[in-house]
Amino acid sequence: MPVFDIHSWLGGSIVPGMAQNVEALTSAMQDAGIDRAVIMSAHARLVDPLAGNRLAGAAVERAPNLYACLVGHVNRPESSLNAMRELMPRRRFVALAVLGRSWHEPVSRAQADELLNAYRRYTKPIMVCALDADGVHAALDIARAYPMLRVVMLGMGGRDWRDAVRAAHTATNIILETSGALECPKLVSAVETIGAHRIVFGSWSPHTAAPAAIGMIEDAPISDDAKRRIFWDNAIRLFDLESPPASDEQ
Amino acid sequence: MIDNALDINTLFGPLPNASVDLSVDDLQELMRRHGIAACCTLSTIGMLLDHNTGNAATLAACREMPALIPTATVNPIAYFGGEGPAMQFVEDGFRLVRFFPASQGWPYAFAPFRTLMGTLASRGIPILIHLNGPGSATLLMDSLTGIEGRIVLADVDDRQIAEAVALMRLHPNLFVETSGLSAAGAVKLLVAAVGSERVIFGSGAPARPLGGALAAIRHSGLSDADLARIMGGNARSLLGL
Repeated sequence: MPVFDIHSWLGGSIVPGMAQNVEALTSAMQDAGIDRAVIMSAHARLVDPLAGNRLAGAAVERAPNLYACLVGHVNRPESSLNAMRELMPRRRFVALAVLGRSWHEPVSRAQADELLNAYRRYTKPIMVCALDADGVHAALDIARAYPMLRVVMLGMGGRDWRDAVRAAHTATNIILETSGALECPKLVSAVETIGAHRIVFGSWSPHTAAPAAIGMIEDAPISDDAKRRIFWDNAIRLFDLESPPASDEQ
Repeated sequence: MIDNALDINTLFGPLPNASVDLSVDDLQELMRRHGIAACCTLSTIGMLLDHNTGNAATLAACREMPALIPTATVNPIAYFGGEGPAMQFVEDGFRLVRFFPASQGWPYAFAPFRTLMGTLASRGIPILIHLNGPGSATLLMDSLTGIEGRIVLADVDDRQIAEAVALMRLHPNLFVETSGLSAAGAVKLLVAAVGSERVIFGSGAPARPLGGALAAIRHSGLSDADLARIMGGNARSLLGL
């Protein structure tokens, strides 16, 4: 079964050498059996959005099976907007992640407005981090305010995944990404409640080793058809990609 | 993948916080499906409600199924001193004692726990204790100064590797269980720092998926010899099997 990991980071690992460059990323993907991945730049999140997203852009140019998610930081709107104008028109940038000061500090709609208003023209999905109930509610608020955008909830609410499933049931433009808590029951609940077509696989590697994240999906008592959608089909549709890649993607 | 794999960290029974329940039969089926030869396990009742009742349920399950290695637990909040529990554990054939300070709401520096640890150490019973973020292992080891028991740290994640390594260099009887080491490269980093003899496979099942835990180890890039130690050799040595 092919695997598309929509949530992988370039840099930022505590483990030396892990995910620090394209070679390390693609080697880890190959080892884990991942065919394609969307990467985000830790440099963009932690240091400077423009410089970091340029690093991600350079990385995806070197690896045909990598795509980039532009990282926008609500505390650095100017640098984020510059990065957006420069990089978002590129086909290999497939989404925008709107992030704040820490993983566990939700980005409110008010904080995200400046970036999202500028982003709407691209008609690509956005990603927001939701590692607990507060994050889920903030993401739901954004999804309701921007019904024309598809909102990918990174981390699926963490241990509060029930809130994430409920939010996705409420707002049909929410897509759940499977990282966060390594718990099989959340997949069963999400598939039963919103259907497998709105769930996408993300590992959050290197924070979580991709094989462990894949193992969770494989272990879950859901159908093979649901797994195929989660691992591959939904990401292809979400990012409007060809499967296999069209020549202009490469 | 590995013959004779042993999982040192499993539970059976209801587990509301993890939204998952697991019967003993389900646990056995999970082990069979993933090629786990044996596992240390205990009834969740002992963790959630009452350790005496839970330990009795654990013993009953393990007597029927030899692949299950009985693991006891004690909530120090309900421990009023004496050698009783440790003696009873030896008599009953428990191989390991687990502690759950965060979920049971007691601190690492806690006199009943320290007393209990003294009695377990004197009888050579190893313990597995769940950590609660950076700093907790340091607090734990500070609170146990002078007690030389064998201790397995569980829930060590990538933020705690440096702390675990520093403590393991000071305390030769300290081990780390792998269920929290889900970050890419974490297991290999730990092995490089302290050696594969000090790392023990645990899945955290049923709260965490056994397949994912195994995959993380399988893809860790370690040698077959290291994997064999981590996946069973070290645990068997620790447990006296």
